[in-house]
Amino acid sequence: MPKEHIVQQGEHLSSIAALEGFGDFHVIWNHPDNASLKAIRDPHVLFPGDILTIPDRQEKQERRATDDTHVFQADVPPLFLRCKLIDVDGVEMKGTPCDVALESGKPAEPVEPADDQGIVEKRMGRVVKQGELIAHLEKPDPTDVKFDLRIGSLNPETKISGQQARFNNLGYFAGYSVKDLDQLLWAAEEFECDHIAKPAKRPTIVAAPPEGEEDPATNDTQGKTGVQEDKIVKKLLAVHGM
Amino acid sequence: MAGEPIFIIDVAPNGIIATHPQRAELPVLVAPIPIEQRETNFNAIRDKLVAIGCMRLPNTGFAFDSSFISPESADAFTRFARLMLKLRDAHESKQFPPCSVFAHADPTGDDGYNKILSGRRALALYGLLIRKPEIWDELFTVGHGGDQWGTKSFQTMLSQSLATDEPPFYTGPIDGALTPQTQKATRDAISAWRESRGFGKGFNLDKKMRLALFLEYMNAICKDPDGNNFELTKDDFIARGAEKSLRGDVQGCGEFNPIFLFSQEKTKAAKKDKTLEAVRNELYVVDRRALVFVFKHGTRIDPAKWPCPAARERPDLCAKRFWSDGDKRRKEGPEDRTFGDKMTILAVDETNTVTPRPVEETGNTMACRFYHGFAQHSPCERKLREWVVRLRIDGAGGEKIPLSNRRYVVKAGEAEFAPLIRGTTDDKGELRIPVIDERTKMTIKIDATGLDMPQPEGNDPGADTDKFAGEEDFWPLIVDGGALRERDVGDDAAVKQRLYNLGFGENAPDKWTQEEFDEAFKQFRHRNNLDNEDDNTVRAAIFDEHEIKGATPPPSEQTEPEPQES
Repeated sequence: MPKEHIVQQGEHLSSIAALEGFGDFHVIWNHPDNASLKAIRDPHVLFPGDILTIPDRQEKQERRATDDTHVFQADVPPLFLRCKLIDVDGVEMKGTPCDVALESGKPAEPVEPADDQGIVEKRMGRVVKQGELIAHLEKPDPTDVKFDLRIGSLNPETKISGQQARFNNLGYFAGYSVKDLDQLLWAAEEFECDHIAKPAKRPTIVAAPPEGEEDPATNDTQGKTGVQEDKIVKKLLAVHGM
Repeated sequence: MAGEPIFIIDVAPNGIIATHPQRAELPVLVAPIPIEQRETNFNAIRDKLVAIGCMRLPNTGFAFDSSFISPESADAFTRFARLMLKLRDAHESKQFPPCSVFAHADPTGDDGYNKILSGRRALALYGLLIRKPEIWDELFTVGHGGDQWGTKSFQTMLSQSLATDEPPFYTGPIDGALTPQTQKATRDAISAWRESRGFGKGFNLDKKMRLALFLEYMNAICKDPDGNNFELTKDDFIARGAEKSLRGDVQGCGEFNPIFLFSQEKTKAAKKDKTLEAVRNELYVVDRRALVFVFKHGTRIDPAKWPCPAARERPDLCAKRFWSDGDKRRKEGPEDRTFGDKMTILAVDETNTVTPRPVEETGNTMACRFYHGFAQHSPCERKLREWVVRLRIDGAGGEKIPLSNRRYVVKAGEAEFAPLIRGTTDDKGELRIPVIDERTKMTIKIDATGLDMPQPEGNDPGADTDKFAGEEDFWPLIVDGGALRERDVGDDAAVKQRLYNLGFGENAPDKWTQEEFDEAFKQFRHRNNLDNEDDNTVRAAIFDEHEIKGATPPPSEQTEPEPQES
C-alpha cells in the first residue's frame, strides 16, 4: 500500500527518496497522487507540511550464479550543489577559486573555479544537509568570503520564508523572522528597483499564519504568503536561480 | 591575535561614534539541483554590503549655513580616530575598514540648494579626512548661496594653535572682518602667519598659501587620542576615489533623509509665529549632520554601479532610489516624527490581516530607501536596543569571576535557522547583541572550559563571522529574552526570576513551589546579611543586585538580559 510522507523543514525529494529506499526520486514524483504537488513545486524546493505519496517499492528479480560475485548498482540520478557567486556590485565572480566542504567537520576541498557565469559546482550525496563554500577573492585585496550553506532548506518562492531566504542570499536583508514584514518590504522594493524598475507602488504583503510558517500542522501549504506581486516573485526566482 | 572586542557607543553633543550592533549571521539556504536542471538552475549568493561602524558629526561640526568644518568637531574626530584605529588593529590585514561620507540638510528650503550644500559638507569632511586641501580650496573659491567661506574661515583657522605650542595668530571675534578693528586684527594675523611660514609679509592669501593654511588647520583639528595626526587615504574609502566626482566615497543626501520632522500643523503655524519658527529651527538642527559609515574590511564597490549620485550631482538622480512612497515619508505628518520611533508600517492583527499604517504617522522619515537600509541599523541615526547579558561564575575561593574575553555564540530564536551571532565578551564578562525579537528565546554558548586557560583568540565582531573551533563544546545557557518581568517588589514572579538568574533554585522560576521560593529567598537574605531586614527590603535588594550597573557580583553562574537603549 502506498503511504504518505509529510515533508519536514530541510527535506527535499532526493533526501526523501533515500530515506524511503528509492534510487530515483522520479519514481515518487511521477506517482499520479503527487500530480497536484508536482504542478506547484520544484521537487527540491518543497514546503514543510507538503504531503507526498510514497509508492510501494517494486521488487526486482535478477538471476545470477551463486558461486560468483556480482555488482548491483541502484539507479540514483546525480545531484549537485550549484552556486552562482556575485560580488557586492552585483557582478558574477568569474574565475574565482573556491573551496567547498560538504557536511560539517570535513575540511573544504578545492573545486573548479567559478565559471563564466560565476557558478561553482560540486556533486553531492542525497542526504547532505550542510556545507561551506569559501570564495578566495583576489581583488582588491586577497579576501576569503565564506558562506555557511544549508542544503535542501530553501522554501518555495511563494512563501515568506522562501522569499526571505532568496532576498537574503541576494544581499537584500529581508529580516530574521517571518514576522518582520517591514524588512521584507524594504528588500522587495530594493530588489524591484535593481532588477525591474523603480517601484511605483508599495508591494502587497500577506502575513504568515499566526503560529509561524514552519509549523506544518497549522499550514495551508497552498496559500501564498509574503510579497504577492507576480512580477517580483517571478523575477526573484529567475535571479536567484531556484 | 585580535584584541578586545570592540563595542563603542560614544554619544556626546559634538558627535556620535559607534560600532554597529553585531550583525547576526544568517545561513545561506540553498536547494540541491538534479542533473536534468543542471544546465539552467543555480542558487545565487551575493556578498553583502555591511556597515560596521559610524561617526555622526552634528550641525556644530560646521559653521552656520556653511560647509566649513568648525573647530568644535575636533573632539569627534579624535573619538572617530579611536574607533578606526581599533578596527584596524583588530583586523589581520592591519588596514582601516573602508568608509563613505553622507551629509544631510534640514527639511526647510529648496531640494536642489540643500542637495548641493550637503554635498559640499560631505566633500569638506572627506577632504579633511584624506588631507586634500585642494578640495577645500575649491569649496572656498566657489561658494554656494549662503555657503561662502570667506574671511570668517581665515579667522577661524588662525584662531587655532596650528603647530605644537604655537599660540593662535588671531584672537578676535569671528565676524568676517566687519569692523575696522577686526579688519586690522585679521590682516595682522594673516601677515604674521605668512611671515612665520616663509611666505613674506602681506594681507592676502594666494592659492599656494591657502592650501598650506588649510592643511595646517586640518592637522590641528583631526588628531588621534595620543595627539598624533589622524588621516586616511583615498584607498580607505569604498570606491577608492576611482571617479573624479568621488561617487561612492562622498555624497550629499540633501533634505531627503531627515531624522526629525515637525508636525504639519506646527509647520503651518510656524509660518506666522516667530517664536514657533525659532523652536522649529532649533529642533531641525539634528537634521543638519554629516556621517561617515564604516564598512566591513575588504569592501570595495564600483562607483558606476553605486546607487547614489556624486556630491555635486542633481537631486533628481537621488529620486531613482526613493521608496515608492518616499515623498510622503519625508513630509510632515499629524504629529512630530523621529526616525526610529514607531517604525512598523505593516502591522499584523489577531486575524492575521496586514493593516498598513500611513507612513506619515510613523518614524519612517527617510525618502531614500538605500540610505534607510543603513540608518535603520546604525546607532548614529537612531536609538537601537541591545540585550546586555553579564556572565559570571563562582571562583574556587568563593570569589566572583566575570567570564571576560570568552568567545560566545548566540542563537537568537528557537528555529533551526535562527540567526547566529558570534563574538567575545568584554572585561566585565558582558556581551551585547541587538534585539532581534523581544520575546525570543536565546541560546548563549560560552567558551568557559578551564578558567585558567589563556585569553582566547578574539574575533573582530563587526566583520568576521567565522565559526569558532570547538564551538560545539561551549557551555549552553538558555535566556528567555522577553520574559523578564518589570521591577515590582510586590510581584512574586518578578522576584523569582531574578533570584533564579542570580543562581538560586533549581527549576525554572515559573515552576517553583512556594517552598522552593521561600528557601531561595532565605538563602539570598542570609548571604547578603539581611537576616534582620523586612521582606520588602530584601526584595528591593534582589532587584538591585540584578541590575546591570553597580551590582555586587552574584553567587553563581547567571544570565540577565535586559534590553537597553544605546
